Amino acid sequence: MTATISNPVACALIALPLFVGGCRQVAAVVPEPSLPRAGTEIPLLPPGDARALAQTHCLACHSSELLQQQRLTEAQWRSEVDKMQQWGADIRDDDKAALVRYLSSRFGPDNDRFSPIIASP
Amino acid sequence: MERRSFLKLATLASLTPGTVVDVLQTARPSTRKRLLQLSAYTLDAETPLDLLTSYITPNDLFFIRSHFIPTRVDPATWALTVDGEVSRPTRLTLADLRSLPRVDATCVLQCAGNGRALFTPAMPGVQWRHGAVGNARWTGARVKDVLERAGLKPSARHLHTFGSDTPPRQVPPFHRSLEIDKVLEDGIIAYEMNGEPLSHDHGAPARLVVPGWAGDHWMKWLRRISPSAAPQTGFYMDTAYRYPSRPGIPGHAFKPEEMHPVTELVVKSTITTAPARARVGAPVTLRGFALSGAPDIAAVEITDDSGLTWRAADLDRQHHPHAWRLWSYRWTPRSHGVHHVAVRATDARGSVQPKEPVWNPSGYLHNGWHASAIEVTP
Repeated sequence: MTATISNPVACALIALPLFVGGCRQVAAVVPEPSLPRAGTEIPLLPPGDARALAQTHCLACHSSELLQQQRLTEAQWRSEVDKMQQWGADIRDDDKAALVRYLSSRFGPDNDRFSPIIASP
Repeated sequence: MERRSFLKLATLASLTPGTVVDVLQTARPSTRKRLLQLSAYTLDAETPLDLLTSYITPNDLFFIRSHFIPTRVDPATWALTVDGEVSRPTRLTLADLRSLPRVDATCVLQCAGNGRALFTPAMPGVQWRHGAVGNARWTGARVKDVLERAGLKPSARHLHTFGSDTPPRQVPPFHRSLEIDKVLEDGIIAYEMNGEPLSHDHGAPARLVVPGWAGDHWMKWLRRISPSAAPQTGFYMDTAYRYPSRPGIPGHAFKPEEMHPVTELVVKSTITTAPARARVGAPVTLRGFALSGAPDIAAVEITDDSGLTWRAADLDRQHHPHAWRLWSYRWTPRSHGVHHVAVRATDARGSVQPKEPVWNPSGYLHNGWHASAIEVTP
C-alpha cells in the first residue's frame, strides 16, 4: 500500500513538478507526469533530532502526510502524544519531550509547507 | 485546488477576515481525473473543487474517508447481523438485502470535518479543505424494512452501527449510534453507488446512508446493526463528533455538557468555478453547489461588496431531498482591481449561511462564506 522515497518512481514524481514549476517556459511541452495511485505514500518526514522517534512511533499507524499537514501548538502536540500513549503507542517517557519538541517545531501553527499529494483515483 | 492556488491563499485570506478566499482557476486548468490525498494509510482523499461541477459526483472522483484499515470481505459470504432490541435476531446476506424492496436516494455525503483546515486556531485531524463532499445516487434496502423483518421492539431508541474496520492497539473502535427515528424515516443500507456495486473505498459491500446528516453516521463496511434503548458510548460518541450547543470564541475550551453530537449538515455553499481574471464590463460565469441538512436549498446569493448587497444566483433545476443544488451566476465586473466575489446559501427552513462558522475544538461543519478572488483589468 505504501511506497518509500527510495522508490525511483516516487523520486521522479517529486522531482518533476519541482522542475516544471521552476521552468515555466518549457512546461507547455513537458507531458503531464503520471500520477501516483491514491494510497501511495511519498513524503518523508523533515530532518530533526527526533525524526527517528516520529518515524517509529507515529508512522506505525499514521501516514507521514497526516503529520505534515498539522499546525499545532506544543501544548496540542503534547496532548496528542499523551492520547496516543493511552491508546497503546509504546513511547518511553524519556523520549516524549524530544518527540513533542520535534513535532511542534516542524508542524507548528506557522506550518504552511504542506500540499496534498495529487493522486490518480 | 492546485499548489499554486494554495500558495496564493495565504496572501488573499488576509484581505477579508472571516471569509475563505480561493483563486479557483489555475493558469492551466485541467480536466484530468485526480484526488487530493491527505493520508495514504488509512486512505483519506478529497476531490478538487474544479471536478465537483456535476450534479452526480462520479464514483472514482468521490472523496474517500477511512477511520481504520478495513477487512476486505467476500460479498458472497458477507452477512449483516441484526441484533439488540429485536424479537428475531438475524443475519442477512447480500442476496437477502437485495430481495427487500429496492430504494434509491440521491443525496449529498459530506464528511463532518470538511473545512477543518479553514478554522483558526487550528486543531488536530485530517486537514480537509472544501472537497470532502459529493452527491450520489445510493441504492439499497430501507433500514426500516430490515428492522421490521427482525421484529424491532418499541423499546429501541437508538441504532448502534458497527463496521469491519479495526483500529490498531488500544485505539477505540469507530462504533457509533444515531436516533432510530431518523433511520426509520429515510435511512438506507446501500449496496450500490451511482448504479455500480459499492466499491471497497466507499464501504463495500454495504454502508449506511443517512440523508441530510454528516458522514460520521454513514457507517462504511457495515457488519452489524443493533437497536438499543440507549445511545452507544465510547470515544467516537462521547468525545469525538460533538459540536457546541452555543457558539464560543475561537479557541474556547468547551465543557462536555456544552457539546452535543454532530447530526444534520448545516447550510453552506461553495464556489467550484470562477475565472482568475476578467475584464471590466465583460460578464463571467461563476458556478458551485449548495447543501444543507434541510431537504432543499431556497436561495443562493452572490456579493462583490463584502456582503453589503446580494444578488440571486440561478438554481439548477435538478434537485432531490437532501441532494446538493448546483447554481450559477453571471457576474459583470464594474471596476478594475482584485474583487472578492462571495457566495452564501439559504435553506428551505430559512437558515442563512453565516459569514463565519461556529469554531469548535474538532473542526466540524465549517460553513463560512466562500469567496473567489478575481483580478479585473480595464
